[in-house]
Amino acid sequence: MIVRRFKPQALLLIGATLAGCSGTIAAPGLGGAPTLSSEDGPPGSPGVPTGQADGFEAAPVALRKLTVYQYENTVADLFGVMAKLPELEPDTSINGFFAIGAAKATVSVSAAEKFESAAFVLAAAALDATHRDAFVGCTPATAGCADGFVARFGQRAFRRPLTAEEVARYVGLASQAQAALGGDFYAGLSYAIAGMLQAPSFLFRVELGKDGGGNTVAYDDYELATRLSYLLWNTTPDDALLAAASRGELSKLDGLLEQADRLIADPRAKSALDNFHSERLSLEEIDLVDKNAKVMPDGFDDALKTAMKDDVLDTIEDYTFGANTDFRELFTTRVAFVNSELATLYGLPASSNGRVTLPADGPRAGLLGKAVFLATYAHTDGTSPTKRGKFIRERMLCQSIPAPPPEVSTVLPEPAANAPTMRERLAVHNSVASCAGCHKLMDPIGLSLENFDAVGRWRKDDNGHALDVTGSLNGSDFDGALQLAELLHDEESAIECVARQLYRYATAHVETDGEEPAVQETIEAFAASGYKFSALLRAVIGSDGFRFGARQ
Amino acid sequence: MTSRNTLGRRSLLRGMLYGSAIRIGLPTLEMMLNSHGTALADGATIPKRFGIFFWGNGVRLKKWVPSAQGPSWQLSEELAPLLNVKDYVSVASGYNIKTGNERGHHAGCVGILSGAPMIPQDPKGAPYASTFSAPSIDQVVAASITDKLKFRSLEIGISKSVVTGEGTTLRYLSHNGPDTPNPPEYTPSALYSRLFGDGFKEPGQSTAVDPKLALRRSVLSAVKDDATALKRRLGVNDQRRIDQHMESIRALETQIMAIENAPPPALGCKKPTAPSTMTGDKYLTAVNDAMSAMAALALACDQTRVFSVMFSGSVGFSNYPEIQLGDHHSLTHNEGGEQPQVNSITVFIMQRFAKLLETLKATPEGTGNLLDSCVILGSTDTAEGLPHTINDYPILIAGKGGGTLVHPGIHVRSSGGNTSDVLLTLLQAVGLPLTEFGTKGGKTSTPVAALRA
Repeated sequence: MIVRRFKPQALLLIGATLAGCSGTIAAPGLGGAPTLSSEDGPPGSPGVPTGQADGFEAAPVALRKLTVYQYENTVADLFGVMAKLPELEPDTSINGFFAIGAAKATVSVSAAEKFESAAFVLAAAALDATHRDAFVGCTPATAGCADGFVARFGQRAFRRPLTAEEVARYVGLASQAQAALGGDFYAGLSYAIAGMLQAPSFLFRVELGKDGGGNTVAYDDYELATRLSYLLWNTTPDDALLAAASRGELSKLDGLLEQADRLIADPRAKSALDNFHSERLSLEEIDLVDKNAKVMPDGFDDALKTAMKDDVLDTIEDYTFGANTDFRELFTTRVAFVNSELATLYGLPASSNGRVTLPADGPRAGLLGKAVFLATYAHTDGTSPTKRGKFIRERMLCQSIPAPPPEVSTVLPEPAANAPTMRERLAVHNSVASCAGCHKLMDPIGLSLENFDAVGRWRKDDNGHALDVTGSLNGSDFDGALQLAELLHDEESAIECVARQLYRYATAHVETDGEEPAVQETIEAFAASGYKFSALLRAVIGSDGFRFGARQ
Repeated sequence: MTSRNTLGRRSLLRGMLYGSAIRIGLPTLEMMLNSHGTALADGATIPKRFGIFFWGNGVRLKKWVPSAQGPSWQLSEELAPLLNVKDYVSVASGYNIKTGNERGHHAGCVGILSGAPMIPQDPKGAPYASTFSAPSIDQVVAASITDKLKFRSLEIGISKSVVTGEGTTLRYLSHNGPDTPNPPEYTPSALYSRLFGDGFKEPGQSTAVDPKLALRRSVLSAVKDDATALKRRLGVNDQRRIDQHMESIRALETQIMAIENAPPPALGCKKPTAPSTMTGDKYLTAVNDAMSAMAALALACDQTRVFSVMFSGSVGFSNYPEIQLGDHHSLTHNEGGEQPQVNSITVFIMQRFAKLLETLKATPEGTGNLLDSCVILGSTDTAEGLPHTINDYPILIAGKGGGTLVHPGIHVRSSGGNTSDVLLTLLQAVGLPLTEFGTKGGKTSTPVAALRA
C-alpha cells in the first residue's frame, strides 16, 4: 500500500536533498535576495493577463489558512529536518472541503499556542550544530549573515520576497535575542525564525492581487505560484516555481500551464490529489464508524478501514496516472486494490494483494461497489439505503438534500412478516408528504444497493427474504447496482460534479453564479479531453476563477 | 473580582511567604478569609467562575422533567445521578428556544449556547454547514472576567465522535463568533501539559524569571507588526480574521506575563498527578474524571475562571462501550417506543456531569468549596433527539454563584418562556453588568427571578 501524506505526521522524516538544507534557499535566478521598499509590497510581473471570459464575475478573495497537512508539508520543505511537532489544531471542513473552511478560519488561542511551540521546535532542530551551517548558508563572522538568511528564508516562508521593513523586523528580533542570550548568534536566529513562522504572512496564504479591471484583481505571479503549488503538491512552492514567478511567467496562461504540467508529472501530485478525492468522497468518515458483532464478529479494525480507503484512492490513481484515462469509468470499473482482509470481504481469494480485476460477470463494480462507501453509509447493525442515497446525491451528483423537518418521527417500523426488508420498511417515507419529497431522491437509489450489507459484503438476499433492487434515476429505470453504475457513467451531472468539486477545492469557495461561465468552460474542456482528469486539472488552473478574484 | 484583585492577592501571598509574614509561619486559610468565607482578609473576594457542560442529542423529556416544581422538587429518573449535589442544582423547564428551528440540532445548539440564531452555510449543491452568529456565552463571560489570567478559558472535550463535516456548529462548543471556534482538548495528558507543564509554578517555587519569556513576547510583538502591515491591505472580512488571530496572540502574551508575574495562590492549588494518554469513547468515564479533576485545579489555582466541557457534540454519534450502547444519534432516530436505550445514555451522561460537580464540591476554598463560586450551565443541542424539538428545553443550573444563585436549588417551570431568560440570569449571576442578552428572537431583558438567591 502506498504511504499517504494526509494523515498528520508528527515526525517529519525528510531526506537531505531539499533545497532548504543546502543553504541555497533563494530561488535560482533571483540574483540573491531582492528586497523592496515597504511601500511597494510584494512584486508581481508587469502586465495584466489574458482577460476574463464573457459574463464572468470574479468571487471575493479571501485569506487561506494553511491546513494541517499543508503546514506539515511546508515546514518539511522549509527545514528539511527531523522534528517532533506538537499536534496542531484540526481543520474545519465547510461545504465538503477543508480548503473552504480554511478560507473562513482564523487562529484560536490554543492554535496560537501550538503554532508557537511548533515554531520554536522547528527553529531549534534546524539550527542544531549538525544542520545549521547548511541551513543558514553563512557563518556568524560573515558580514550581513543574519540579513541574508532572513531574506532568503523569508522568501520561502512568505512565498514572496520580503520588504526591507520585514527583513529589518526579523533581523532586529535576532539581534535582540542574541544580545539577551550571551551573544549566541544561532540562538538569536531561532527567534527570527519563530517570528516568521507565527506571522500571518506565513500562516495564511495572502492574495492581494493587482488591478484586473473594475473590482477585479488578477492574482500576481507569486500568488499564482502558491495557488498552483498547494493545489498540486499541497506544499509551499519550490525554487523553480518561485523563480518562474520572479520572471513573471505565471501571470501568462501558457507559463502557468507549463508549470502546472511539471507539477502534475511529479509524484508529489499523487498524494496531493489523493487529498482532494479523499475530501470530496468523505473517505475519512470511516475512521469513526463502528459495527456491532452481528455485522463484524471480530471487530472493525483500523487496518481494514485503511485498506477500504486505499482501494478508492488507488483506483482513482489508476484512472489519473495509469493506463486508464476516462474518469467516467470509475463508476463501472472492475479495478480494485485489496489486502487479504478486503479481498475476503470482496469474495476474492484471501491471497489476493494489490491491484486486482474483479470478475467481469460479478455483482461488484465501480465506486458504488467500494466497501468504504457501503460501510460508512450504513448503520452499526444494518444497511441504510437513505444514507447511501444521500451520499450519492450530495457527493456524486452535487445535489443538496434538505434536513428532515422538525417534529417528524424518524423511527422506521420494525421488520415484520409483511415488511421483511428495507424496501417495505422505508415505504413509510412515501406515506408522509413532508418526508416523501426528499426521500424519493435518496431511498430508491439506495435500495438498489441492498445486495451489499452494512460493511459492503455481497448478499443474495436479506435474511432469506428476496431483495427487489429496481429503481429509477432521473427518469431512467434500472435493476440493481450494476445498472445504476451504467446510468451514473452516462449521467452528465455526475461528471460535472467532479469538475465543480475540483473548482471548489482549488478556489476555496463554492462557485458563485457569476463564476458559472468559468465552471462551464472547465466542464467542456473535461468532456473534450475524453474525461481525462489531467485535462480537468489544467482547465481549472487555466480558468478565470483560478486567476482572478474580486475585492471584498 | 477583577484581575487587579487577583494580582493583589497573588502579591499578598508572595509577600506572606517570602517577606515579613514568614515569621508567623504559613498563614492558615481561615486567617485570610472574612467570617463569611467569601472574601480574603485584604477584602479581595473569592472570584466567581463560569462553566458549561454540554452534550448532544437531547433527553427523554418524560423521564427528565421533575414532577414537582419549586424548592420541593425531586430528582427525575434521568436526573437521579445528581443526588450528591442536588442542593447545588436547579432545573429550568418549559423554556423554548426562540431563534427558530431552521435545522435540527444546529439551531438548538447555537440558540442555547449564544441566545442567537445560527448562520446557515449552504450554497446550492454543496454539502451543508452552519456556524454561530454570536459568541457562545462562555466567551461572553471570558471577555469580561478573565483579563490577565493565564488562560482566558478552557475548552474540554470527552467523546470524540463528533460530526466534523457540517461546519463549526456541530463540532465545537465554544465560539468567538462566526467560524471562530475554540476547539477543545480531548486528551487529559495534553490538557495536563498545557495547564501544569512548563511555566506552571506551585506555591513556594522559585520566582526567578526566565529571560526567554521576554523574548517570546518580543516575537509576538513582531507577529503583531506583521499583522498590522498586512491588515492595511485586506478587505473587511479578512481584517476581522486577522484581528481575531491577533486577539489570540495577545492571549498568548497574557499567558507569558502570568508566568513572569507570580506563582499561583496557595489556596486549593496543587499540581495533580499526570493522567495517562487515554482518550476517546472507550474511556468516557476515566477521561471525564481526569478532566474534571484538572478543571477543578485550574480554577483553584486561578489559571482561568471560565471552562466548558463538550461531553459529546451536537448530533454526536458517541459510542458507550461501558454500557454497551451506541451510536447515540442513530439510536435517537431508530429506537422505538419509550427509547429505553436512549434514556440509559442520558443517565450515563448525567453521571459524568455529577462527577464534575462532585469534584468541584470536594475542592475546598475558603470555608466552603469551589462549587460555591461557580455558575454552571448544563444543556444540549435539542430538547428530544427523535423529533428535533426546541420547546421545553432541558436546562440545568449548578453552583451558588458566590451567593447569587438560589440555594438549595429549585425546579422552575415556565410556560414557554425564552431560554435566553436563563442565560441572562446566569450572566448576571457571574457578575456581568448586562440588562439584556441575545439577538433576534433570542433577545431578552427578563432574567428568571426565581433562580436568584
